[in-house]
Amino acid sequence: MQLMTNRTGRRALVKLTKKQAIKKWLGQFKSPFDIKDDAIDLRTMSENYSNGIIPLEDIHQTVSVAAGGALDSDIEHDYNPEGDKTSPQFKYVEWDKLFLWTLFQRDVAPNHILKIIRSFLRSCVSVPMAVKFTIDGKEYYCVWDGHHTLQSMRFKGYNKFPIWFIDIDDVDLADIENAGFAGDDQGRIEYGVWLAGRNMVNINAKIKRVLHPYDQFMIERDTKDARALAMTNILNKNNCTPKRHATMAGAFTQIKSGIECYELADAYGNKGQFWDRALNFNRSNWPGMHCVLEVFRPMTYLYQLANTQGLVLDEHFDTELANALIERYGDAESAQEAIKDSYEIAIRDKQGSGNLLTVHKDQVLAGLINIYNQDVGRIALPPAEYIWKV
Amino acid sequence: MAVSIFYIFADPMGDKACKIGISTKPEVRLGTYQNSVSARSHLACFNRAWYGTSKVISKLELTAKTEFDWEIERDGRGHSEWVYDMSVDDIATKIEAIINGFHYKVNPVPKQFLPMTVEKYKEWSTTL
Repeated sequence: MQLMTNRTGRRALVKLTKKQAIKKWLGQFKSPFDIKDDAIDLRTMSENYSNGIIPLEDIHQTVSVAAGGALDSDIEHDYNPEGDKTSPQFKYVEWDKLFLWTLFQRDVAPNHILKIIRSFLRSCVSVPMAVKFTIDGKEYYCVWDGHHTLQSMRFKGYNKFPIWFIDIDDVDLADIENAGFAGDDQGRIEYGVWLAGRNMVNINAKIKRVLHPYDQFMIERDTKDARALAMTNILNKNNCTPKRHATMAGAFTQIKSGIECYELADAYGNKGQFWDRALNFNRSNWPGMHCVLEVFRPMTYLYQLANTQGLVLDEHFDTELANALIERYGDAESAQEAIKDSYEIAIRDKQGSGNLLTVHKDQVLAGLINIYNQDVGRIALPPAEYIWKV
Repeated sequence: MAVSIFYIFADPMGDKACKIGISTKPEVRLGTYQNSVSARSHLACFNRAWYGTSKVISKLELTAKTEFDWEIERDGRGHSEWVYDMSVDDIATKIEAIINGFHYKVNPVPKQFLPMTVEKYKEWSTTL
């Protein structure tokens, strides 16, 4: 709650709306950053710190504001997990004490283990998780997460294995009974199985957040991956900004398609030049817009096709085609949508000839070639896969 | 020709806030806005408007709402079209910049029909 002055000049207790609270919170930062439910733009947020390192507490406060009160009933205070039997403890464990109980684990995938081994780094091992039981006097550390990692470590010669574990032998009887299990040895084991199964499903299915292509690209860029750096140079050259959402002019959101376009090479293996020109086509003709997938992608393929076929698309070509599109459709999204609609009608009414095109990129590519031939026709283009009057 | 319009009108109560919206039946929309006040207090009108096909007008609205993100302080029915702390001219300038930057195929309603009341709308619609 906050005191605000209303229009009549009276001071009143007014609860800020979520958007007002976010706007107010952002007001204290020199470099404002995107705050959305699915992502807070931390890279831009980091520009507010002299060394680029953000205190977790500041991110925490930002998340609180972004949640707009939705977290209020879930908030707890002053919990110290050290020594709490319901929180995991850390230990290096011998191989012969590690087990898998299929009640709460999935099948093992040799190809996944191979994948881990091929890119194995000792500095990059997530600590596996387990529950520990003692049955007939023998200790069992039963893994519920990280089994593939453990098998990979075994292949890499480890003789001690890092484990986060809950010691089921140590859990208070009251906790076991409160969870609905009997207060005897059998109940204790059933409780451990239930706990591990619930955690396994939670961590692998319910709360898993797959790395978004945007995040992957930004991490690769910031850690000097060669392809990401080359793509960044091309994006910068065309005044494009990699973004999660198309919220600004030049926003580039289609990372996977960007990689596909970047990889299109000339006869000598040089990558990126066709994508570079396609981005320039998009940005210079629709300067207020984000990068439109079904404009820059078919254009990249068009430039490559022409190059392969020895056709020169001179400097006037881009302007001629763009003017034809703007004249017909206006904005770039409308243009690509109208071309796809036109293709569907031509197919339905059997008004064209050529190969059927099932992929949007190919439909728009053929449409662009047809439009140029119909409206301009000054220079020869690669033949369209499907010819119709667009 | 069936057209949609994108409109801006200033808060009739005098606050520095404007409503942005779209309509395929502007005379009905103006009638709705007129419902809660008498014409002697305030005559419902659109201060600025642009017209085009429904598809492109919807695109313009979406882009405008993205552009005015934080100036639209409230979400939900009746709230999500109010842009705060901006005048009609401020908003119109941004809308023109969007239209030019995107090459949206829309046209401004000519000045002689603005502010667009129900009567002015009828007059203008005969010119289309």
